[in-house]
Amino acid sequence: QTVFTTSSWVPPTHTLTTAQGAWCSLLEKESAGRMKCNALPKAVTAAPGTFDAVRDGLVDISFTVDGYTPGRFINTQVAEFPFLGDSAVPTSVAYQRIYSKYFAPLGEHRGVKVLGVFTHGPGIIFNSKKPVLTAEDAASLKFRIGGGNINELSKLMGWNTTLKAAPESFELLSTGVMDGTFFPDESVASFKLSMIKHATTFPGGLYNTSFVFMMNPAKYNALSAQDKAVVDKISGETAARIFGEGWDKVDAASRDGAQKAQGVQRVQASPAFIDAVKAKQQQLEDKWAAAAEAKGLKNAKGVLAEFRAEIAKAK
Amino acid sequence: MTEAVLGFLGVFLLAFLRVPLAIAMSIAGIVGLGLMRGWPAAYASTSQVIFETGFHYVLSVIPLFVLMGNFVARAGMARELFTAANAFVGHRRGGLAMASIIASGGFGSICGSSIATAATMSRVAYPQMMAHGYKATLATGAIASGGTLGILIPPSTILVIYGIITETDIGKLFIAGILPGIVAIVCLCLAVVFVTWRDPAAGPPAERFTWAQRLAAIRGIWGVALLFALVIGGIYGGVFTATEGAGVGAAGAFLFALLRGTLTPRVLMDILLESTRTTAMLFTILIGAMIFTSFINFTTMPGDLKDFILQFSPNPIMVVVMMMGIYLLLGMVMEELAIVLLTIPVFFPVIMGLGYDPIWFGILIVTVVEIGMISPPVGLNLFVLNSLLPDVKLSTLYRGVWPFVVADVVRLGILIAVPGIALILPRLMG
Amino acid sequence: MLKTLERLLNWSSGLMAAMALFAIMWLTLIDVSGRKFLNNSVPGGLEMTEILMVIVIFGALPLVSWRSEHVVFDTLDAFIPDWLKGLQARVVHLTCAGAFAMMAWLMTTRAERFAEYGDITVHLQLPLSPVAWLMSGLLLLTALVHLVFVAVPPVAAAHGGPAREGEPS
Ligand code: NA
Ligand code: NA
Repeated sequence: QTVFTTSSWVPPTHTLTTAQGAWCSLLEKESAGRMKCNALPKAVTAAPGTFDAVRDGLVDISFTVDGYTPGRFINTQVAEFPFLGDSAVPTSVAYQRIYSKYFAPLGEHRGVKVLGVFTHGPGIIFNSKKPVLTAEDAASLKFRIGGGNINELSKLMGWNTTLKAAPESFELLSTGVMDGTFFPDESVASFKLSMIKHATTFPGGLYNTSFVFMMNPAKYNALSAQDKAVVDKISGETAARIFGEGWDKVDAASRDGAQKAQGVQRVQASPAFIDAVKAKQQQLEDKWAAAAEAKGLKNAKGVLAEFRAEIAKAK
Repeated sequence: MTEAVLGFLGVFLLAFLRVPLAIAMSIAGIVGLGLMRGWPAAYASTSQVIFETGFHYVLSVIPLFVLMGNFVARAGMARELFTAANAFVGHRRGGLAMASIIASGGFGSICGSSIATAATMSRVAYPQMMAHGYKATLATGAIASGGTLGILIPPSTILVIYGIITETDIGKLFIAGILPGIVAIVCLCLAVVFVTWRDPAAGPPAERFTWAQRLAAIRGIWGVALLFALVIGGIYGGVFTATEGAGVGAAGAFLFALLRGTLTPRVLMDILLESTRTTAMLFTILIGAMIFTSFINFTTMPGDLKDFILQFSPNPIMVVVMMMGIYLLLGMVMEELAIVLLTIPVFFPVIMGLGYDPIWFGILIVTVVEIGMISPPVGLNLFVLNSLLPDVKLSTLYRGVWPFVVADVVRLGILIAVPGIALILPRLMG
Repeated sequence: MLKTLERLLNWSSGLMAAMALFAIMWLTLIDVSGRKFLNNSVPGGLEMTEILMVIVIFGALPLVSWRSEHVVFDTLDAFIPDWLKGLQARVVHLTCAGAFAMMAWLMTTRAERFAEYGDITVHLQLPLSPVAWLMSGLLLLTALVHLVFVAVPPVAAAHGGPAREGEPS
């Protein structure tokens, strides 16, 4: 019997942890009990070190946010752009398809065996002060942000942002040091952001986040051909779907539960606001395309277009 | 569980051979991890732990609170606090020891570190107690235990770290520490009463102050009050976070020391150097503890402890009591921050599942951390006093501190029995 | 000779650490005031604090070792004959030298890993690999301090270190 040690840098009840657990249950079932997981009580490293922890065999299976190690991953930034989709399942599945087709051969995730890539739900502007309908409204508030494409976009938009880790959101917002933050719906509930009163949505989300779910390659290579086949079967789209479904479920639960209870007013960004973001995003896409092509991706703009088309198709 | 026990034995064997505690924990941790997960994984883990612990924004509260404590001490504020407390209780039996505990509480209101508080009070109160014929056991016991008030009375490094890992409101945690802090001062003073009742020679009475002198002494602590208002007011006024409050507080203390004319470039350099050395000493222990913790994480110990505790879940309060028992035992042999970081992810969900208040649990955690810092053999405050007072042996410290450990355990019992002490102020905040 | 070495440490890595700590203090104050009064925080303040923290901790580490300020159990000291104490000190310092040298080596592997992937900080895009190299260098310096004491055991500085200059009042 093979036992995979797994680690999670979010709490045991978080959807990322439970989705990883769900994948492990599937692994155990599909292999008729020949493979199973053993979850560590405490994360083996802080989030940014997780990629290396899997690569170095400290743990066998874990997940991370590509943007937590800035500078390492270029291609994956494509999954962080605005207006990708309103639900995590199609964006995750489409991202997985594009990833397998174009990105995997380029080896940005070299050193680990990628089991799947995925995204969370649409990114939203949350704040405790006032309804944000326009870019000017947003510019009048102080936001905590986490990094990734949204960091670049905020810079271009000229917003007043401070980079702090997600778990500090509560303190920053409850003391009034910051007025708002950018998160998917889920986080209002999971970070207990009870002071949030306003949400500004964008069709397809203001931003997203690229995640990777991975296994130590030596551990994979040591498996029998039969076991390898089981892992391969539930990797890729199957894994992406498990994580995507998890995100969608908790997003909905937060909207209908915590957010409703604390009276969060949802508004959609005005068309002018959306256009302003689109204009700045164009610059970011050009920059990304140049960087990705420098790293070996051919026709980056075409890949991005195919990604968007794939999201529309995916269910 | 066997692996974990062997690991602890390894640490103690090395430590008793006089290998620094930090190195003993690092060696045991690397070897343990290497045997369990393979050497490349152990090396990779260790280098990651070193980097992550050093390259850490939130932990910057530690050096900044230490620095603040040193500036405040240099500005003479610790002495003013001690004088004020002394004016009221010094004439009693054991009065100087009580004064040092009360002054530690006051100092704790402007310093977030237990070690900085103990170190500062040792310079102010210890010579006075010696001059009045106090026994070293009582003097050091009062200073070591009083020092732990630095992390219970806001601001507090441990509460910042607890708040961040459990996503609990740090502002409310800070407010929640105030009443338990007062209870703690009372309990520790009662321990002094007990010690001097058993042995009146341990703490002979000092001279009595007149009411005019007392009022003058009280007026002398306005600087402390102002600095407390700056840090706590800034946090509650939404100007800065608790983490940033450490930096602002240090800057405020710097200004005080400067305005009182106590800073020359030479003195400033000495204070900065001393603060960085204390920081480096603490972080070496922290890194060693983290390396050891990542080994423990792979053993069955956390799971076994959780299973042990869960068998009491039909009777929730017993779960809390058993958990505190485990913390007291771990606190004797481990470094406190490492205990918190290792056990909170395991224990916190259990406590939440039983429906207890995270703020109340946070105050209990700080209390057991305080006890761990003074309970022999591994008690950081004892080590600090041992290095600052070269003429006091560690064994003297061990003998002097136990009445205060008992007082702290009694206080822990009170806080468990009466959750209102911790919860009434944060609930008033809404 | 030893005095010169101590002065050298104080004015090199010690000075670096002291200045870094002072800088963190001012950085926090400026960051907070900027956010409050000018609606703008210091760009990349968080990651600058993190880098400065590395300098504070690892810059002061050689001095902690030099002054024997690491936490040790001295409980058994009373039972160890004097002739053995010198040998014991040498063995302990050798162990410490080995441990710190190993940590220094481990940090070079971390530095190489950062360089291999081109890891940078989020906001200012500063490369991480030099930070790990710095840790490694200062850990090596700490190991060398212990090696000095293998050869020349510190006499009076065995505990508590030399009298602290400028005791705060
Ligand atoms: Na305090
Ligand atoms: Na302890």
